[in-house]
Amino acid sequence: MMKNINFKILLQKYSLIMLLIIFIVISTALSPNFLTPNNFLNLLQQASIPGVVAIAMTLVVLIGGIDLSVGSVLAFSGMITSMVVLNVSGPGGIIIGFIAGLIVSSLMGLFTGLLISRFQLPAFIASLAMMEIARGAALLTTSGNPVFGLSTEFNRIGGGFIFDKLANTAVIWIVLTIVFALILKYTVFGRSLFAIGGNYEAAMLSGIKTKRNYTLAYVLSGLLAGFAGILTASWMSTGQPTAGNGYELDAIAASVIGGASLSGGKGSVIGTFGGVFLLQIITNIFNLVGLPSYYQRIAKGAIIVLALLLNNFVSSEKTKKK
Amino acid sequence: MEKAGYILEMRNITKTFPGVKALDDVTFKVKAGEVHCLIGANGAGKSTLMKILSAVYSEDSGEICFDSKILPSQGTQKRRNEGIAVIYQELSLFNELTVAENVYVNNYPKFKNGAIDWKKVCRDTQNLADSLNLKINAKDTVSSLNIGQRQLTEIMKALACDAKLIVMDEPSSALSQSEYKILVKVISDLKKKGITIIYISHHLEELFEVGDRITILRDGKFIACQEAGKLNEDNLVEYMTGIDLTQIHTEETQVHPVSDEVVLELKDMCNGINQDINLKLHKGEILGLYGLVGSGRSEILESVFGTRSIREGSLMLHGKATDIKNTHNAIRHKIGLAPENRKDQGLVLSLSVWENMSMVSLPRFAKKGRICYKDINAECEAHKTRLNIKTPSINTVIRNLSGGNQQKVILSKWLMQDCKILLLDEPTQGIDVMAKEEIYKLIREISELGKSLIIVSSELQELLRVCDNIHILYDGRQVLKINKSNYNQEQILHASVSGRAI
Repeated sequence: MMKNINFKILLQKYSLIMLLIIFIVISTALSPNFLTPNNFLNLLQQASIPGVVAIAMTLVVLIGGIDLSVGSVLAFSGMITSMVVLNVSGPGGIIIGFIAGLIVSSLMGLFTGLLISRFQLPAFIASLAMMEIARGAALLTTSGNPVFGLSTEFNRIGGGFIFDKLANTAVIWIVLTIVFALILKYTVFGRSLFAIGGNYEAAMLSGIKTKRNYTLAYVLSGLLAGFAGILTASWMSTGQPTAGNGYELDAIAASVIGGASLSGGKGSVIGTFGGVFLLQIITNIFNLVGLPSYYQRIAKGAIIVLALLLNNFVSSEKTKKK
Repeated sequence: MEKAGYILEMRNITKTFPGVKALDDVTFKVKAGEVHCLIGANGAGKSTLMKILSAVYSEDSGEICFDSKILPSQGTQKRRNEGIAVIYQELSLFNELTVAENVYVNNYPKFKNGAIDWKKVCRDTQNLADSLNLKINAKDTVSSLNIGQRQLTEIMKALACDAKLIVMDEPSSALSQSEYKILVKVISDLKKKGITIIYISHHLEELFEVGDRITILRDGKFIACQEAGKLNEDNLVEYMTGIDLTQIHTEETQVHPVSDEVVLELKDMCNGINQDINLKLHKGEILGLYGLVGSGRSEILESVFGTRSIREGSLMLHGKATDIKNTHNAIRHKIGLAPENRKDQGLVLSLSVWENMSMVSLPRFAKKGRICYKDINAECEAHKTRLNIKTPSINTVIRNLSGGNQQKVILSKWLMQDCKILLLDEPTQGIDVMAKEEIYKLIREISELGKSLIIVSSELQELLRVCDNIHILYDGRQVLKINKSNYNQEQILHASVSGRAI
C-alpha cells in the first residue's frame, strides 16, 4: 500500500518527463532522423520563440489570469521594431528599435493588467480586447504589408547561431526560463504570484500588494511577448503583421501540460519548458514522417487531453486517499 | 389548539461535531398551522437543528416524524418533496433570472412535448404574488428587487413547491421596518392558508408579534417550549442564558494588570455598519467584542485593518490620529488580523505550511532581493515547535492540516511579523477542545509579551475566560462595556439579545 502511494506521487511529479520520454522513444522508432544532434538543435530553435511566449503565459496563469493578447502583441512589437530598424540606420537604430518594441508591448500589458486589477474586467475579456487591438495596430502600421529589407546586423541577433549550430533564440529561451524560474523561487514578487493565484483575498489580507503585482505580471507578459516579437522579426528578417497568430493557445496548452492550473496558484516555467518541447516534438515527428499537418493538430489536441488526464488522475487519487 | 396534531416531531435528536455536542437529545414539536418560534443565543443549536430538518446534516441519533411519516435520514431534495422548505439567511436566488423563473426553477410546468410552459410560469407566479398582496412583478429580474422582495420571492418559491412547512431563518435581519411589516402580514396570510411556519430570530419583540409558541434552546439542549402569550422578554432572556456562572474557572477570574498605555483608540467611529464606536485598547490588554451574529463585531476589526473605510470619527494609534487605507498600511503599523473564515480569507490552501507562515513577513527574509530559505526554514521550524503545530513537515500542503493546526499557522504568520496589535475573528471556530485550550494559552502568552489583542467571538465562555474587558454590541452599536472584575454572564447575554443594558 505504502509503495503504491509513493509510486503515484512519483508519477504525479514526473508525469511530464515520462510523457516526454515516451514520445522521444516513439519518435525515434518512427524516424531514424529524429534522434540526431542536428534535429535536436533544430527542435530547440523551432520551440524557442513559442517558448518565450509560453513563459509570459505561465506568469499570468499563475496569478489566476489569462492573456490572449500575447500573439498579437508579439506581432505589433515586431512591426514597431522593424519600422525603426528600417528607417534608422546603424546599431543605434537597432537599439532604439528594441527599446521602442519593448516599451510598446509593456504598455499593452500594463493596459490589460489595469483593466483587470483596477476595473474588474474578466481577464479573458480584457486580453481578448487587447488581442484585437494589438493585431489591428500591427496591420495598421503598414496597411497589412510585411516590412522587408532589414539590416543583416539586425538579422544576426535572432537568426544567428553559436558555433554555427545552436540558435541564439534557443539560448535566449533557455536563459529566460532559468531567470524566471529563479525569480519565481527566490523573490518576494515571485512568491506573491503563487499566493495571489491561490487565494486572492488571503493574499490581500496578508498585506501583499495584490493589485500592483497582478498588474506587474501582465506587464511582464507583454514585455516577454514583445521580446519574442522582436526575435521573430529578427529571425525572419521581416516585420510580419500576421506573426504569432494562434500562439496564445499553444502557450496556454504548454503551460497547462507543464502543470499549471488555470484557476491559478500552481505552475512552473520549467514545466512549461517541457510542455513547449513536447508540443514541438509532435510537430517535428509528423514533419519527419511526412504526414499532412492536419494530423498534427489532432495529435496536439490528444496530447493536451492526455497530459491533463494523467495529472488529474494522479492528483484525484491522492485526495481520495485523504 | 390542543386539537391540532403535530405536523413535525423531531425526537431526541443528537448531533456531535468534532469536539462539540451541537445538539443533545433535543425534542422539537411543531403543531400544524402554527407559527413556531425557535430561539437561542449563538451556538445554541438552532441552525444545526434546522439543517438536520432539511437533511443538510444527518442526525447521529433520534428520528424525525413529519406529517405522520418517519422521514429517512438522507436527501435534501426528498425533504423538499415532502413539503419542507427552508429559507436560509443567505438567499438562494438566481439574480439574473426573473421572479417567475426563480419561483418555478425546481418544477417548471411543461407541455406534453417537454417544452416549458412559460405563460403558465408567469401567470401562476403573478397569481401567487397577487394572492399574497405582494407588489412584485413576475417578469422583473431578481437583481432589480430589494432585499425584502427577494425574501418574499423565496417564500413564493416555497409555496410553488407545495410546501406545508416553511422555515424562516432570521428573515427580518436585513429588512427595513416597513418591509418587516409586509413580512408579518404575509406570515399571517400563510397561516390562514394552513401553512406551518418555523420562525427563527434574534429579535425578541418579533417573536411575540408573529409567534404562537416559542421553543428555546441553549447550548444544544432543549430548555422550554411555551405559548408566546405566557412568556415575556425577561423570561425569555432567562431561558436563553441560564444563570450558570460556575462554568467560569476561578483561576481566570483574577484581573491581570493592564498598562495605562493606550495603543489603539476609536473615537465616535462610524463605518456604515457600526455607529459611534468608542474603545480603547491598552498595551497587553485582551479586549473582547461580543454580540450576536450580524451585530457589527467583525466590521470593527475590518475598519482597524483597513479593509472597511471609516466614514466618521477617528482611529488613533499611540495617541496619533492615523488613516489606515489598506491592509499593507495596517501591517506597516504593526497590526495583524486572523480573519473569521480561515479557509477563504486566512490561508492559501494550495500552498505549503511554511509559505503560509511566512506570507506576511517574507520581505524580511529577502537579502538583496533574494529570499534566504535557510532563515525561513529555521524560523518556521521554531514556530512549529513553539506552537506545537502538528504537521509531518513544514512543506506539507496546509489543506491537509486540521482546523486547530491551521489556526496556529495563521497565528505564527503574525508572530513572525512581530505585530503589536493582533485582531482575532472567531479564533476557535470549528476547532476541537484540546486545540482550543492551546490557543487560549497562546493568546495569554502573546498578551504577556506586551502585545494587545482584540478578539471577536460568538462563544461568550471563551471571552469570559481570556478577556480583560468585553464590549457588547447590538445592531452596530455598543450597548455595554464590562470589566473582568465584574463579569456577569446574564447581564452580557441580556445586553446582546435585547440591545439594552440593565
